[in-house]
Amino acid sequence: MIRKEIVERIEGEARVDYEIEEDKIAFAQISFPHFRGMERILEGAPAHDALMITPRICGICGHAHLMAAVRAIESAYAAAGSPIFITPKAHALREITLYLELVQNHIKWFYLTVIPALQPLCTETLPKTSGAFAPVALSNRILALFAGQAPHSAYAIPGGVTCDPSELEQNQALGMLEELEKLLVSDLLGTNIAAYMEIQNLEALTALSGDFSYIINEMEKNGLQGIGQSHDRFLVLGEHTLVSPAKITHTTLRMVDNDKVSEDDTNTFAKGGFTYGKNALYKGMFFETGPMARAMARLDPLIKNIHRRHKDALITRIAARVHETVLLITEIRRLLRSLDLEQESFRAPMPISRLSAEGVGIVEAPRGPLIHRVKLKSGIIERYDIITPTQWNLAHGTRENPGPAQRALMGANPHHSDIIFRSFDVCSVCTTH
Amino acid sequence: MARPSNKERKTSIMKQALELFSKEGFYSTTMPQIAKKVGMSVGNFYNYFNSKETLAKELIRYISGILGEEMRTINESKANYKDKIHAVVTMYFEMATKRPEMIQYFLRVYLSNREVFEDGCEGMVCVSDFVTEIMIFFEEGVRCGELRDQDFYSAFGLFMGYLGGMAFLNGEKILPHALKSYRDSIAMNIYNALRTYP
Amino acid sequence: MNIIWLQGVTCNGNTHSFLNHPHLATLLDHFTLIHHPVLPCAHTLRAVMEKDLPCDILIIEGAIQDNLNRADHDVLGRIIHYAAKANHIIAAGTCASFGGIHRQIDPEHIGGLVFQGDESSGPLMAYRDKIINLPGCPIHPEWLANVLLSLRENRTPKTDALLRPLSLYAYLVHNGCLRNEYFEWKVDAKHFGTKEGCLYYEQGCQAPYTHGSCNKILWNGVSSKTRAGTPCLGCTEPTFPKRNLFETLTHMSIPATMPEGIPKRTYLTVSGVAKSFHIKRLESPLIPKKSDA
Repeated sequence: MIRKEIVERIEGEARVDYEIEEDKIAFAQISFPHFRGMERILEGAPAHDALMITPRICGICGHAHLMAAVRAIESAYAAAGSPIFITPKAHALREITLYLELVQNHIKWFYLTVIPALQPLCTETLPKTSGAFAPVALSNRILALFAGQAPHSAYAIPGGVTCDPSELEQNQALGMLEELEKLLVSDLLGTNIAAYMEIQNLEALTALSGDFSYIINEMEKNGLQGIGQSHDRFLVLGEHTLVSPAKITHTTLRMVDNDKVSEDDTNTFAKGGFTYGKNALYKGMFFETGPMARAMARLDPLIKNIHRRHKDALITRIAARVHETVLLITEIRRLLRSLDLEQESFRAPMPISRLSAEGVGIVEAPRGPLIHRVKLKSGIIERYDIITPTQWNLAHGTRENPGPAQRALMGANPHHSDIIFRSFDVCSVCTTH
Repeated sequence: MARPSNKERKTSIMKQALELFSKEGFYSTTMPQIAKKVGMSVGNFYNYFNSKETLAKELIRYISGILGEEMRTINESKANYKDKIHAVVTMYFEMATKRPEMIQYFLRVYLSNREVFEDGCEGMVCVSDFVTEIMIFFEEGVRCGELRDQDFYSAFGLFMGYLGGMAFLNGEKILPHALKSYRDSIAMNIYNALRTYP
Repeated sequence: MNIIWLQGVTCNGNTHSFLNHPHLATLLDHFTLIHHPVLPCAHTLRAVMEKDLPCDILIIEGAIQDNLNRADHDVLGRIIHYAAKANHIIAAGTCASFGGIHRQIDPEHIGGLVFQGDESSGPLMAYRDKIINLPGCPIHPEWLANVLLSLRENRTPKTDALLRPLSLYAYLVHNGCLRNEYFEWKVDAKHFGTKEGCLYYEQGCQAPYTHGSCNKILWNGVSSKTRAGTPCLGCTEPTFPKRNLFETLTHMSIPATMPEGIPKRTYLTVSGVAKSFHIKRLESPLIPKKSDA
């Protein structure tokens, strides 16, 4: 039996055709029915315009696109033998604002996506979705202190950042961050950050009183903890203060080589297939990306503890994302305090009109590696290619070789399809750029 | 006969002063000399201009106003840039021939005695009528695609430096022919230097 | 009042920008969300597409594209259906207002509700009188909240020729910019990453001719592009996006676009004079760094 579904509220929609055999999902065909052509409008544009256009691919993770775009152009400078060295301050600011975008994304996902999807499967009433509003607005407010606005800032440019914060912004940011922490401590975590950071196993986590542990407990009570296991293969490609690139197969960590990343369009409409989304592969294989992958790469004690029991199941995927939110906030505070305001915000690089080279920019976006590849001729974009994280997680494979989300859905109870699908934090708009 | 108005008196003083300054230079010209030339008592003369510096600044504004007016007429004409450039060269050379004191004052006093103009005539302040029209001339030339985009001063220097240089050579009586006879070739040179390449 | 929020071709930026409203829950108490792409609401997208639901205010986010399907239905057909019913139609963001970035992809088939760039035409011309454009890429949450509150009070905002409420778009982004004094005295920013200097001369700032209250009602309550040293990209105008946005288009060093409504001759006269004075305070760093010494 085929059950056709339109999945809404995933930054757009996806169509999923579930093949159901003996009350289990045998296979799922996932398709993103829209196409926008953002890469095409960049062709022929001056390089810097990518800093304005690409964030507008996505309203929820546009800042990650900005960071990938600026890294791509800076990498082209390096390839041309004219490397750009941004100051530690500029680098820290870029990390701070990127992390803030991750924070607001994760909070929205938890309250506005996960909770409504879990509710029909749980016996108790789950926390209200409006819990997202205050912390989300506050995260974006801190982001805007440096980046001018959220969403759709364009404050990172080759050579640094456009802002030149003083102690005022630094203190405002620290003050607001404390406020954000308070909100998360009282609603999400149920304990203070220091105590939370001590937690290293699932028991200690479920003993807390906040929304996070409430959801974890509800999942356990309703038998949802073990569902949604996938390939147990993870990939991190972006280099950041919190995580470094790694490939993890059944807990074995390896270095990665970016040249082994490929895009496969055999399942797209253009090739007579099913979707506009192209698959992203590493060495020809599907990998799961995002917070769980980053936790595994970081050897995070809490997530590794949950993984030991439940592998890459729904519970691990959900816990990893909420847990990452706390780590991000701690790291944002460290970076804010470390800012040396005496340093330059920007160092003018060689005029871009003299730049003819190719570059690649990779960042860890909320959902995993985001890759921008650019080819410049005299500062003008000749070609622009983007691989988004959802192209990894929602890759469209075959029954024999399914993509990560497909693998997680296969064998599952059809009633669980929605929460499993959404646990990957699908971003339709990014995928259909 | 009606007595000349204050304004007419002032204009008359400026015309005479312009001739003296442009011939003798700023420092060699004295206020009594100018007063004498206008036929006015020195005491009365000071009612019009309280110092030589004030007079000098007023003169450069006066010249800039006249040149600016001429430039504006050219700017507002419908001609193409080849013809407009020709018109500017014609206007400038005619001015240098018919009223040489204006161009000479600009070159010998305004540009040579910057210290006199330090306070109150900084930068473009006293030549703004003229420079604004030059800016519009260039800006619109690029906008309509007839002139090549470049830094303002590289174009300004080429245009005005060239014309000023010719006026100077003419004033020094070095030029073998009348200034007018160079008009067409110079206009063509400037046009070729500033126009867009096909 | 019942709100239906529908999407054309979009990045979801307006949806997410609206979520940043500081009193979102209180604001929403005044309305019933029949459908919204992200917020809790009464009906799914499929229901909006298939049923005839109540709709007093129709909010459209994203550009209108011929033959765009969502939830197996033609989006434009459903927009027209609800447009006929609604008392007010709000174009949330530049794409719905003028076509915006998405129009660049295919100007023939993608555009705004009643404007294609600055040309007045589009699929909702029959309902033009009901339309309020709130351009901005993305929309400012306070701008949308402000209009919603007006409508709730039965006040229809006064608009300009592009159907933008005057209370929000009569201002220029330039108004309230912290760098205004540098503009007055023609002190340009030497490069990016400075607190000092105006971004209009070299860095491409479009604030002097872009309508919007970005520097009056700050973004996220705290900042704006120009306050963060980023040039205004002109995102509230039908001409958005222009190209080469981080560099001022000049003709022989003279900005090609004058501040709104200022004749070129007037501007050049005043700016030429202002530029002649070197004002030490404005040429010095506001907060000196060790490297400035």
